[in-house]
Amino acid sequence: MAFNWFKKLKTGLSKSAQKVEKAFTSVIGKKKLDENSLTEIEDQLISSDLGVNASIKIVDKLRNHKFELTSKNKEISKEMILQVVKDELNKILINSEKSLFKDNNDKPHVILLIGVNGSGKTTTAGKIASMLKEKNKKVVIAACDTFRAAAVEQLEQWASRTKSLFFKGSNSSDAAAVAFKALEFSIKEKADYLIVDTAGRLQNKTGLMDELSKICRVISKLNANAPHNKIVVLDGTVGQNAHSQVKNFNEQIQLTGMIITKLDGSAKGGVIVSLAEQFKLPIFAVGVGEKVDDLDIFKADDYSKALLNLE
Amino acid sequence: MFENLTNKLGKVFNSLKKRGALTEKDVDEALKDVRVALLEADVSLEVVKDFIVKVRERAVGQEVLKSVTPGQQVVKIVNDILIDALGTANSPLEINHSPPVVMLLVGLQGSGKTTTAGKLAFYLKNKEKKKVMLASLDIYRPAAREQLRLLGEQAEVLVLPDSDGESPESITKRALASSKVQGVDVLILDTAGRTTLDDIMMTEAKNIFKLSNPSETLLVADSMTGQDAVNTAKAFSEILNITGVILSRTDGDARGGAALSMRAITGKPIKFIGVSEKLEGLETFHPERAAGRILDMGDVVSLVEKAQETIAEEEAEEMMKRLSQGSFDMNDMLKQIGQLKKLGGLSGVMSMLPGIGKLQKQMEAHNFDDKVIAKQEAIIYSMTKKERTNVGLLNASRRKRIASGSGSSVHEVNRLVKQQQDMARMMKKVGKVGGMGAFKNMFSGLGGNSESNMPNGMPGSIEEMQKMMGKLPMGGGANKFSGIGLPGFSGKPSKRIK
Repeated sequence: MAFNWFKKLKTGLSKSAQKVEKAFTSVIGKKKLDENSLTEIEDQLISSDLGVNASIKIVDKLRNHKFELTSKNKEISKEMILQVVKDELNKILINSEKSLFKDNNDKPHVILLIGVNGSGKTTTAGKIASMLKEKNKKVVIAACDTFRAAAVEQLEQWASRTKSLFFKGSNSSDAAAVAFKALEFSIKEKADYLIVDTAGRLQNKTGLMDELSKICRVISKLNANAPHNKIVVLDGTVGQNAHSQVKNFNEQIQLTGMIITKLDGSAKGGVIVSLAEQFKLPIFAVGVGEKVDDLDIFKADDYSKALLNLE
Repeated sequence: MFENLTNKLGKVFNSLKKRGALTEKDVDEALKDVRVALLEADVSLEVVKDFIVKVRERAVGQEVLKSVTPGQQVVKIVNDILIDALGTANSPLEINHSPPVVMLLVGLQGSGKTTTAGKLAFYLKNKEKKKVMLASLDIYRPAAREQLRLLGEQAEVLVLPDSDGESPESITKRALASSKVQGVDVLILDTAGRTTLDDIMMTEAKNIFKLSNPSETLLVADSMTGQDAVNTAKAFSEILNITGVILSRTDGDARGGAALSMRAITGKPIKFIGVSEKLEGLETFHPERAAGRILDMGDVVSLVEKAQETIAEEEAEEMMKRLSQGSFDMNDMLKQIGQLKKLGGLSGVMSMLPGIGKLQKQMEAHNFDDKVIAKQEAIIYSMTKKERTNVGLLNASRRKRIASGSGSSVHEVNRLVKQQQDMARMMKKVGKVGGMGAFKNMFSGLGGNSESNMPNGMPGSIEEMQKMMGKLPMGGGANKFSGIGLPGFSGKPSKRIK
């Protein structure tokens, strides 16, 4: 009895073993990824600054994904894997596609650019002005960086390049006062847009952070909706500190969106993926170079492809 | 996140109450979390991988201290290796060449080159008393040259005047010529920011480098940089001979893993860190602080350090007890040698003593070096366990065996044995007579890990020290400094000082 039972079990086992083998040799069917490939993908995502948690989340999705194999595609190619990853990224990022330039009647529309030092605020201000000029909008650029040497001159050059009106205060004057006067000036000039460039500040400097609140508070006296957009400019080479940046700026003045710059280098700015998911903020644009038209509207699919080096 | 990590480490090892050496499993468990900690601090992945391998090699087999968990012990080891990997605290600038000494600042856009150039000028002028000239080669970014000019004015140093339509290469030549004429000591060249993928701009950097032949080529990097730090470091060090790194914006709340990536890839020291927007906001780099920030497990590290100190104290106490009973054997001697080595050998201990400069020459003259310690250690290691506790066993043939086993002569073995016996006798005496206080202090000074022990433990003046040592007739008595609780190191046979 015992012998028969054992024999039966054994044949049963060998049958299923055969089945598995067959599935592998015939190759057509569904297959999951092995751990080595998963680790490789995880490494690639981490290297793009996605962060450990976000990368693990995506790899977990990948782990459960069944790849459809056909007589044409007999093995899971890297391409196939990355397509799946891309779809996952797109799911997160698609909600962040949003235009900065919706038609509005509340003029002048005030855009406040903020961020840490060197993230590219001033260059971005120039580029936004250029985009708006192409739409035949009347633009005022205001220099509220009253601290850094030659910050005003730098912005002034952008204003003249983009043929925008330029507003500045006297040296070392109060940033909020300059913003207020700039809005008064923009109203008088009947401008469509006012772009306010602020001084770079690290998000852990309380005094400088309070200055941002003051700017918002003061200009809202002229228009309760202003500033209409409060955008944090993030450096594309930034790592996980971007979380702290967005969190702190958002708590300070409730951001309306993000712009990520310097994506023409080798950095991927992957941290934006988890930022988009966590803070549900639009990504208005990406900076891809130093020229005046090197600012692209953010497209989730294009970005995901670039992040994964996909064609 | 990292409070979590610390808790987690605690949890993982709560069940493991055993003491002893760290097993591979202990280490691997802890390193999983360390890996995440480093990645979250923005250390580049490939650097993390290398680092983890290094830690594993060093950590497996290390002893776990009483009252800490294996996980905590691993964290401490990681911290130590991290400090090591980050390099030394003081890497001075190469400024003592024939003037004008050229310093070239390179980096990505927005990394902080221009502000750093101003700070460097300020530093060189005020701290090094140099005549400094700033020159901007950034013809691309609007008002970049204006920015440098203003910073130069604030720092009160020379600034090369602008002229339109000039290439960076020709500005470089003009700057060199002008600084020669004006007798400038240091010329700081601020270059345009560039991305690593821009071939034209990278070629330009190479040309400027060749033209200016800088003594220092400093890569300015944002301490908030993420994984791309490794690409930046590679790209710049491939085309230029980078001599150092300056990390900007360390006054933010970034964990600053880029420091490790930059250091690992370039192999060059981090010379300065930027700590504010002001001109004086440039400081030297401190690896311990940087490591603490990257790992963010300061509590665990200080816990283990405390445990180490306690154990050293306990050991010293125990030894004192044995000594006062007159049982000072070869094992005790070995321990003492070990403690001395921990402190950086004889020269290390000596350097901590006040007023030792005079003595140092004499020490050298008397063959007073660390090789002697190594030899003594080797001799004791060549003894059997029994021999170590009972030197009475050492007959002529055993001594011969020990000598050949340790690569020394029978004469040297004899001398060591004699020293040990002298010491044992003396210890007993001291123990009986009293005067233990001072002596005990000396031991805790030797055994402890903190320098703060030293002032209490060590004699305050050279006279005091000599007096104290004079009391200790510890072999090697060719001169007054035969002691510090150690057998004599003099090259001459011992003669007791009464």
